[in-house]
Amino acid sequence: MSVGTDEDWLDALAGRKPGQPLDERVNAAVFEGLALRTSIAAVLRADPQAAQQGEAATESIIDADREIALIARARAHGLLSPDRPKNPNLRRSEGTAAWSAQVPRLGFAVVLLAAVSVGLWTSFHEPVIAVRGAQTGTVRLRDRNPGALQRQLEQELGAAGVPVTGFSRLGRVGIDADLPVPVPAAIALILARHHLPIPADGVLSVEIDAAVP
Amino acid sequence: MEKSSFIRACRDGGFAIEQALRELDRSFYAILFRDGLRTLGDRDAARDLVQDTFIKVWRRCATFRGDSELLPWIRSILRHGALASLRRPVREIALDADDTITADTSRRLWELSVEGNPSPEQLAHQNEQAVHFQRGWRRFQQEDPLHASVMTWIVEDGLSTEDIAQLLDRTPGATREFISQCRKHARRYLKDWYALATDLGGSP
Repeated sequence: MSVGTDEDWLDALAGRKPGQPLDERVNAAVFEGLALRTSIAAVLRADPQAAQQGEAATESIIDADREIALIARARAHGLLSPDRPKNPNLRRSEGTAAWSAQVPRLGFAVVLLAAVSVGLWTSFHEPVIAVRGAQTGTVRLRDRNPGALQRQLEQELGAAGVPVTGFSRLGRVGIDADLPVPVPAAIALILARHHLPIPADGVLSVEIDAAVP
Repeated sequence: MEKSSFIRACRDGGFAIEQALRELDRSFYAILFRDGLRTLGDRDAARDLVQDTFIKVWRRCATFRGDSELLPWIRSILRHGALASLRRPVREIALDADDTITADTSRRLWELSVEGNPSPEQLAHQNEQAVHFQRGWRRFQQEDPLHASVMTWIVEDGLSTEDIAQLLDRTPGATREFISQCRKHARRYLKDWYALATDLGGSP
């Protein structure tokens, strides 16, 4: 059997059209490959009715135990090590890698500076919001336009990748959000801008009252 | 999972990876498990293969350039893992002296490969061929999953010699030999099906 016919057989099996004209020997390889392709494809098409497919279907899309096992495995492989927040396999030069080791600290300093700056800036401007404090995990804000602030929070946190749910209950609007823990710098900055504390458990609940003009 | 989210999580690292791992699991577990089960034939081994694949995906996430879609890239990693599980010393099979296909068999095979408008008699023959094929193919998958799986992937994704070389991490020459072995092994496991193609419509 020549290499050439094996290649023709492979091309036919893969569904690639043979060149013309074909001699008898190539024809045989092509037909053999095509017939196998047709039959294998039929087996694959019938797969959903096969027992193994039935078993696969029992694997649910969301499985908490499976996810826990996966995360534990990732942790055991050092992928989620808290002191290695950046993916260790991102290719960097040695100099860059050394610099990047300082990124978390630098990021924290930037967030702190930004938070202080925002605080100072807002203290010199007309306050549109006021923190009334956090009770039972819910932070209460006061604003002249609660609806607008609600939308702004939804938009800013949403843009940072946080799933946010807006609500309106008992005449009061607000948002619920599940923040990633630890809270990334970008999200911490948004919270600081709105005088919102960083929730330890990542569960953020904010109610907004209408401020008296 | 969108590849842009994946690339972002890879860049951000830390908690983003944990979130993305969960998302990967929810998006692709079922399809990868099915692939793994089909290749390895064992539920526990398939589960282990998929989780191992997700870990490898994150170890290699920086190499994903976003030129292709995420799933084919992850699938190729899964296949590498599956092949590593399946790999064992390859026993060469002597090539049959009479390995050529006659013009008549070739014509029968051609008939098998095309959709037609068969008569009841032809339909019965086709059903018989399908039964022989399924039986032989199942045995091929169980006893020689390496060659059977690669043949399945060739059909599914139209792999070329170069693709197979990359998948197997072999030289072009060794890959051509592997492809030749696939063909020989298929003939061995599917000999009843081949025989039926030869005998169709004629005397045994």
